Amino acid sequence: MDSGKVHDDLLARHQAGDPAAFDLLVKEMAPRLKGFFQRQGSEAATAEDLTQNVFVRVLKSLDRYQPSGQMEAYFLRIARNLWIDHQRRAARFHRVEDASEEVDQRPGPELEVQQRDRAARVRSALADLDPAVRELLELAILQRLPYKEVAELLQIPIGTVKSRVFYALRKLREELRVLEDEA
Amino acid sequence: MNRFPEPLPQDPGAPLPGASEERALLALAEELRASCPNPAVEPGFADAVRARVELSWTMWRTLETSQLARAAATILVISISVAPIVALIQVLPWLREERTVISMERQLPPPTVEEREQSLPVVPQPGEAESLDPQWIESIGRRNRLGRATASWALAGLAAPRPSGVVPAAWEAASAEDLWQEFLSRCSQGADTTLPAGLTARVEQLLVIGDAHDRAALAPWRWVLRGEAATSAELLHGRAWPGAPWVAE
Repeated sequence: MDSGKVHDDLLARHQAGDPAAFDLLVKEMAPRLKGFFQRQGSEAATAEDLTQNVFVRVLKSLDRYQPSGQMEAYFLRIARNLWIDHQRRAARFHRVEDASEEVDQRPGPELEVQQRDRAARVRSALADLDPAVRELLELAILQRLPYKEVAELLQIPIGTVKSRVFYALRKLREELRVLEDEA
Repeated sequence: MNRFPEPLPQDPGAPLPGASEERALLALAEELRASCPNPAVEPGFADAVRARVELSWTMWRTLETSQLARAAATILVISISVAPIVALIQVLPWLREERTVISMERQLPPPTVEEREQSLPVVPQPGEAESLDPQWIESIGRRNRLGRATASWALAGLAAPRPSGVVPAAWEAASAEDLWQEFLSRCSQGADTTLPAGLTARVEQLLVIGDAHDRAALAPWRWVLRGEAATSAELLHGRAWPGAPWVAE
């Protein structure tokens, strides 16, 4: 099932007065949006607040939304605009906060430790990328938006999206190698 | 700014990585997804969003339905927009109108007796050496006696002024009668108690060379100048009034 249509259905149910629809929408989209903001460089509390702002804007503009099966892209477009506004106001860049490291600090078997270290280096490599490259990986890989929607969101041709995604993955791999060598 | 290398493939037909590298990059993408789980939102996230939306809608609904709220919002907007203009006018002097200033002067109450006394000229007090000077003591005595004569004139009700019959330049030719008239004139007009040297010299001269009538006419002046009271013979000529001080003494 297309996930965008699921969100469209949830919004339609919410508009029809189904109280469970909004909770489902929050359950599915809120962590993704908060992850988007945190990986772009926001602190956890700010990411939470910005995520709330996205929902508020979406709910206040429900009457203007035309169901098109691109609800995720709609959410992420609003999130991206909010993040750009926030960056302009803050006028400074915060290094990506590694929320996963805060979540799981328990000691474990050696394999688990190696996996955690590797995951931490992947996140660190992502954080070290140029913001535009990181944003592309965020939308295309982490948010799993179709290339067509990424192209519309970033206003670039779809072929450029494809090539840039591979370029971005190569850059991530290079960064990861540097971090592995340093380790 | 473009963060990607140029030239970039611009279409789907552009050269892409080989199959082995593509597989490696896709695996890296999967690893990236696995390494970046989405964080959980805070409990009560949905309620917080609902509250913010509800608050926003409540405000708009209030503005739509309440005339009072619309009026208050209008006043607020106008105040906010007018404040900078008013501030600018206050800062720029050539934009400021000349205004008529309405003010009141404080009406002071009439001065009290104490305040009036404070406004009178201060009479210089004599120094120690001056107070021991016989001439100064004598002049004070003369002035006091002439003052007493003036006061007794007023007390006797003899208020009608009498013109002085002698001009200051002719003291040496003044007769006893002239000097008597001068005495009456000074008493009636409350004239300055400072006596011209020519007048006192002419009085002293006539007291020496004059006859009984002259001395009777000059009895008041003699009392003023010397402190000597009139004799009974002099009083017979009627050169006094009831309560005249030179008679009492």
